Amino acid sequence: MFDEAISLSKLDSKFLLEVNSHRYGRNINACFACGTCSAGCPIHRVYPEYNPRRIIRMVKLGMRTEVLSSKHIWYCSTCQTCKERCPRGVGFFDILMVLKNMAARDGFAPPALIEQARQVRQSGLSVPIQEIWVNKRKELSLRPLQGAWEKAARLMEISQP
Amino acid sequence: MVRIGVYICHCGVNIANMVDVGSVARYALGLPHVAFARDYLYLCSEPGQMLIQQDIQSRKLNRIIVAACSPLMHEDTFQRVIAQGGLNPFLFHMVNIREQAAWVHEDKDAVMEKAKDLIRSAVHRVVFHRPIERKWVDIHPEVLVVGGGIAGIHASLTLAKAGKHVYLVEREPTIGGHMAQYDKTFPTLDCAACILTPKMSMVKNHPNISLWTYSDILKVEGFTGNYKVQVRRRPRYVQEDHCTGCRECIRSCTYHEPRFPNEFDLGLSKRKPIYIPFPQAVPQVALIDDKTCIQLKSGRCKQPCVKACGERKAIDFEQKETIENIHVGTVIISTGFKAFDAKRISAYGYGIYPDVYTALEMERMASASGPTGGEIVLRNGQKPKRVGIIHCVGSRDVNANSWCSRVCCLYSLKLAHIIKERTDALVYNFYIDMRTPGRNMEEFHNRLCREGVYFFQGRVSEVSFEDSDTDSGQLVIQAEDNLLGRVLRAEVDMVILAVGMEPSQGTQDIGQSFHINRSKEGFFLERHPKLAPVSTFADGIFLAGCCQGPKDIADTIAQAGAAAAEVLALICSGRMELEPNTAHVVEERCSGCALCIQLCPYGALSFDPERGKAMIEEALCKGCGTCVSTCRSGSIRQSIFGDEEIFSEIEGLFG
Amino acid sequence: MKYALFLGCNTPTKVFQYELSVRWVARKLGIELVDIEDMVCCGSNYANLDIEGSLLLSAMNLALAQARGLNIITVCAACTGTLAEAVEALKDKELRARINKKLSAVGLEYREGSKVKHFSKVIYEHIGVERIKKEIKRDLSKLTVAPHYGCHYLKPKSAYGGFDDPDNPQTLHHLIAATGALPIRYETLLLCCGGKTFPISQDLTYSLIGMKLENIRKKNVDCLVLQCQSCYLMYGTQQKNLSEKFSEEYHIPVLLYPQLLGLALGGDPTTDLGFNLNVPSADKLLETIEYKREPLTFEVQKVEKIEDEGVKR
Repeated sequence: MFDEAISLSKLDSKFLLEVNSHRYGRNINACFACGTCSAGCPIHRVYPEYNPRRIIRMVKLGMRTEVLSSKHIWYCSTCQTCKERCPRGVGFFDILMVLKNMAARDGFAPPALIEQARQVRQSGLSVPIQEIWVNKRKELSLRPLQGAWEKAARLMEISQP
Repeated sequence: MVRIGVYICHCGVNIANMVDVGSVARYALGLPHVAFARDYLYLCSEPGQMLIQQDIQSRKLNRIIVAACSPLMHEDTFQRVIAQGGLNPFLFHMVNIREQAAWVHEDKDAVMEKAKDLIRSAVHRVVFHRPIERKWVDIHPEVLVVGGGIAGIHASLTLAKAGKHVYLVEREPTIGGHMAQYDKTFPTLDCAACILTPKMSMVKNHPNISLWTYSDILKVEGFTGNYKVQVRRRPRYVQEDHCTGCRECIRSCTYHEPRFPNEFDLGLSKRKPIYIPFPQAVPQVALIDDKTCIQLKSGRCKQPCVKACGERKAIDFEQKETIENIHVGTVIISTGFKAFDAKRISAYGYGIYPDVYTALEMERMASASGPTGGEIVLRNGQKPKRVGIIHCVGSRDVNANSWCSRVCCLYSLKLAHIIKERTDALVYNFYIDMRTPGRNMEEFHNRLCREGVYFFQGRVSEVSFEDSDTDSGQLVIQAEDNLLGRVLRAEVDMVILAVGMEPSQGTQDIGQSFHINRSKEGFFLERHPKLAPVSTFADGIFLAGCCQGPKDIADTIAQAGAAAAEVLALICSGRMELEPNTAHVVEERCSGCALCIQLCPYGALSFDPERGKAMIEEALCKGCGTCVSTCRSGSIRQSIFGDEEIFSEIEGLFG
Repeated sequence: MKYALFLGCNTPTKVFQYELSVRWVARKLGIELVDIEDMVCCGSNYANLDIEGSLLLSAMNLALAQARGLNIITVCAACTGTLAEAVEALKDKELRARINKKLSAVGLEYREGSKVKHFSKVIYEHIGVERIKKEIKRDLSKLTVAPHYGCHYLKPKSAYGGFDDPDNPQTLHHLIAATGALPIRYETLLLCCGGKTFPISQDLTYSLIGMKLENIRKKNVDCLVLQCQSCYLMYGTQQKNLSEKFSEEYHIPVLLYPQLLGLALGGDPTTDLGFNLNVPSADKLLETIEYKREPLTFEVQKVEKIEDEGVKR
């Protein structure tokens, strides 16, 4: 109860394998923690608690619960600088995508994204159909936007994760 | 009439405890053509060997089979034995019933059967062995050393001392290589020029060394011990034996001020069309660049240089290139390295921001004979107040070169020291790992820690430029401080990129000319990374220095000495044995399709267009068998492992 | 030159001036844009929850364009990235088969070979800087402009076949210079707009937007020029909120590149290029180039504020 040390045996050693087995996480073992990803990350720069290098470290050690329940993994702005500059071809951006998928499956996901995904599954668009823009388009003589409502809905239905 | 002697070794208990050697010997006696068979405790021992030798004579045996350990262990031994017994050593076959039977299976009956099968197939095969004569070639005692950097210089001096004549061919107008460009060397901080130039002088003065600078290798023909090399000597437009290096011609040149980038100073200073690359150049002879000299370009110069040279009449605008043909027995390749081109990583700003330098440019700046006389200054002439050194530029990087260049951490520490010594600047070193192996190197690292250099563990993501309110602006190095876990922005005046080593320009051509392989990184491939680091797969051609892989000066000189020793071993033995298992073309069957020609990795195959047949140069053939298996009409045969032998062996195996 | 126009979700519903100016410029330069009615979201945000689902959406769009024999022009940088990376990922046979199996349920199939290009890339590569210079009708030489590339326009390099250099980009600078305006280089050129983080944390994103606008403000430019509507929603639409939040005054006009190009080619800022829809107002910019226009006839669009939501189970 007093000991703050990390006990390796209490961590989930399968977590790394899980991430590594996914196509987008296949290079995680190549990481040698040089920190280039964190160095170029715009989010880390304005919010130091979000640290890509540290997230990979936590995955490698097996800190499944901490990583997947963390709000941090959703902050990525998808700028892909980490992927471009990594000298080992690890692709932190891709690994983070895998972590987000896993977190979503475990029930952790921001409501904004859940709502957007629901919208896409329903109509194929990621924004709700609102009068305000429908009318504006008419006003500006822009053609009415026709999403593939049924097609998309059917498609997304058969591909439920 | 074929009379085979079969000898089965107990090998102590190694074979005997799994195989009933006596009964195997009796079995062998019953096989066709076997005139004699016996078992013995240790065949490789002195008495064992004597036994075989005596039997050859007394029992008139003309084929020998030894069933024992692996041929890799003792094939040579037994071949020597029977040669001494008066039989051709290739009328021999070794069967491995130890590593292939007794040692690897547990079922005794099965092991017995396997041993018998193996011996039976050997008996069928050895009938078709033919006597092969070992051939030798003389090794011509002269040596070619390609590349006049520290490796080539040391190798040449060692060989010259041993009394051998060396041709040292160097592409640049002076020898010295990259080491001549350095200021100090780690870890002792010796002045590079001070330890190098005496050796350069010795090369020039040694009667056994023919120094040919400003020269290239054009063509290489021949084989081990007898290479015919064509060397092109490019025109300096100055006669080497007349020039005294007084530099009057340079002083009087029509160009009053130097105008063209000085290659030795990597463009940091300028030179005139007539120049000497650096003050201690060897040879101390001027040369004229035909791309910038007015006389050579248009013929319309007053030629003040000729007038200044006066009586010596060294300048000769009519000079032409000459082709020299030399005959050497062995070659040492010491073509060195080139620095990684930092422009390939645009995130680091090289070529974009003026005060971003490579380490080699910094060496020139720090050197007393360099563009600033050893002063560390920015482009605007002021001394820097904060300097950032970025490690691993172009190294350990899938987007550039994957390897570690081994010297960069150490030279980065050295540059940090030099900057602290000559300026009041704060110095920041950004690294991924600190790699300082070797004698006194960790102590060097320790020294630098104590000198107050700031060390940051964190690979640099980018170098950018920031307008500042106070002065003209700052370079900013952005990295994550791994130890703190925060993004760090280091505002500096000067950035130095620790660029890695790559194979030098022209490595591919040299490799093709001499038929030596390169590794996938592009450096020349050594025969074995541990056991034969200076040998190549071509006998008689050796490597020394960074052309084989990145290394520091100490290891380079060690390799140069090693290569010289290997060369001396060959020359002193006087002759080299050729591969006995060579291929030959059965001309009547050759259809002239020429498929085999490009496949030979040793360049032994050529096509005779007049007769329309393939031809094999025996001295170059290494017996790899590629052409034999490719030939569609089966017209290429090899001395050993011929079709009859192999098919017979297979038949014998299945009883 | 005929392409399928992929607008994405935000441009046609929030940044109408982008669509207007793209269509106008395309018409002027002879690029035929075909609207394919069935197109859906590229799947960029969907990938966060389900990578393969996102690939499915991208594949659907690629297949729809392919069915008409067309390559795709995008206007949003994120759509460009998502679709281009889908093209790369779908080179894998097994994955393609799996995706096609699902697509067949809606009568579609994706075959290899689609090309996805951002509108600016098409202009740079197929129209070219020289031709733009020849067709200039309006003098923009008094303008100094700060370009912003948009992360997905440049990265990942592997999906774009070596087009431009993410660490030292040049193409937008050339495109702007072609119009006569002067593009500058500035310290935060490569900084991300944070658009994808905005729905998750407004505060974080404001820090990023603020850094960029602070830097640009010091440079005294006439406007910021963008290539992505997502970046516009950050730098343009959120500028007022940013000003309020940090008690700073930012009045930097924000344009989409086709608007600037259209201006140079002689288009009417109001009727052809939607300048009146831009926030902050671009009036000062138009004054600088001595353009006189009629008074506004309709209102500037009001944008709702999005609530910052933490992660909930």
